[in-house]
Amino acid sequence: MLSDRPGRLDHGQFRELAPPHWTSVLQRVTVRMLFDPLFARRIYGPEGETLWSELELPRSYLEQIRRHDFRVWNADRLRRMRAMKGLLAEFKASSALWLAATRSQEALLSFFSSETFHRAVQSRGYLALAYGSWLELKIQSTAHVAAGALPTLRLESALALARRELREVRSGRPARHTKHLEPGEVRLRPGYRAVSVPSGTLSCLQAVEAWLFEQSLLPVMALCRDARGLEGMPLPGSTLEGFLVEPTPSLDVQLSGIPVAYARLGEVFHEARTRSEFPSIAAALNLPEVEEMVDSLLGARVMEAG
Amino acid sequence: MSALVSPSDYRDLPRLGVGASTEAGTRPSLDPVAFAAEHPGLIDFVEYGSDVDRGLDASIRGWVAQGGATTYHFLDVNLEEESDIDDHWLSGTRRAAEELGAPWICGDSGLWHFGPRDQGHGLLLPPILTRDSAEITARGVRHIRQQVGKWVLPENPPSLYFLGDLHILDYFRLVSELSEGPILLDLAHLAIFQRAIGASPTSALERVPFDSVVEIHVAGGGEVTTEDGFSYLEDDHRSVVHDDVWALAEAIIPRCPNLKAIVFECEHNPPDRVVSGFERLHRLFGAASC
Ligand SMILES: [Fe+2]
Repeated sequence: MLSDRPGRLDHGQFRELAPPHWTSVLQRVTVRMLFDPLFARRIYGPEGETLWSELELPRSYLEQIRRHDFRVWNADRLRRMRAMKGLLAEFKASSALWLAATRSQEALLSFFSSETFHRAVQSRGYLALAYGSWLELKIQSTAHVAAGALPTLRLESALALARRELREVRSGRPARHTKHLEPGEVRLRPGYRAVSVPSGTLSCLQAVEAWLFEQSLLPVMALCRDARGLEGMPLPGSTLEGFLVEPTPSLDVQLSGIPVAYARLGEVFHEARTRSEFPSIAAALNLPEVEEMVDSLLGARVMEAG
Repeated sequence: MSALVSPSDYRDLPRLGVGASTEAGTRPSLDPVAFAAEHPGLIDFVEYGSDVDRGLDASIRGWVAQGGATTYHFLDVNLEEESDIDDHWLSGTRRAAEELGAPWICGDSGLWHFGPRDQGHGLLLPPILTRDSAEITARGVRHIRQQVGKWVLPENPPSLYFLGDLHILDYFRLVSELSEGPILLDLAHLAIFQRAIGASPTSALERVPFDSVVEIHVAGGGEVTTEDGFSYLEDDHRSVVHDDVWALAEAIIPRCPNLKAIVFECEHNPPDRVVSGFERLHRLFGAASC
């Protein structure tokens, strides 16, 4: 049974507001079978009955699925690679730093067999956000991953989240972050994310991206024993650096450096906060000028108020 | 978005003739201007495939600028999922179709992506072949038709598996009846369906809703066997059209009284390899009484 706990990145703000039609529920099961041969095996095996009863779909469709040659589900051997290519486009640096430690293609593609993947598909979640959440757990549980991997992932995740917020607003779909603000409530506008990370994180991200670009010029170099690896990438420092993710006129997002104090404050305002909470926020962040800082962010239209 | 007036009777749509498919920004791709200059009279129009994110490319703009006729093939909306048809998609699609001067828009029924319209979610899934699904699709088709102000032709998609209790032709007949609109019949996809259910290519001809077919697709494809020995008909738009598809074309094209357009989907092939396919389709369409 899949829990309905959202992924760590997607805090439920993009969750479907109405229960899906049964045809969509069934379609999502086939998607999971197409991406995950292990799941397809379970559907065909004795466990299939239990999985089916949890989905609350007519039993006849389990029989219809099983009447198909099992090899149908894995006929497109490149499906997972193509989807992964799309995901890595947004999580290039953190994925590369993690893979430098695991050095396993199977480990990377096991995302499509993870509970995070299955939950995202079955609940209409964003795959990119599911991947970001999964990667965070992988980085934390893998030995010898470069220290820059997690902070780099935080930067890439902030960009990925902001893109989805903009996408949701553009499509006119009501989500939690586009809900009406009550009077006195303040939050960052959709498409804006603040992030504070150890100093040197951006340099690390850029160095890994430059390395990946070099690899793309001559992919066969990956076979050479003397090819330059990812060793020697900049390490995060002991102080913090702050960033703001903001929308661009071309409907994408960009990252700019901001004072650390503003980044730490902004992180608190991804969720709506009331002015009565300001004193406790000021104490927690050790920032006496919360009121003034929020007003300046409101003036710059980075924040919005109810 | 303000609702637009519904288009007039689809039987009065212009006869476009035989056209070629192209896809936004995809290389190698057939350049219609160069192809038409080299082979005058071989393509009467271009069916341009794209999505709201990619919009129109330079190649199709060049074709339109010189007065070429077009249709618009969407690659990014789930007709079987009403919530996917959002205002952003509708306005982007309307803009593209208007810039092209397309008399109608079309695209495969079912799902073009699972979950949200986003990176990594692309996967063409066939509709669940039931009345429930046909009703959702018909509502989607009507809604898009109203908002875009052009006829919307749902197309039978390819797949190696199909779920539901209807034959795919009965499903599309139902969508056509419920939406009171025309359909696009892809003969390569129909051949794939017939193969998937273990039937001969032409054994379901009596199920074709002939009056509703306004556009037909013919595409190259062939037998493929996976490493573990599974064989199927691949819809890869190669230059050679499978005999099953030609058999369907010979049997169906002459019987569609409202057929306005045939597209040879061959966008990735060198022009000289596809000339004979276009010539054969011209002969077939020319001989038909529609
Ligand atoms: Fe087609």
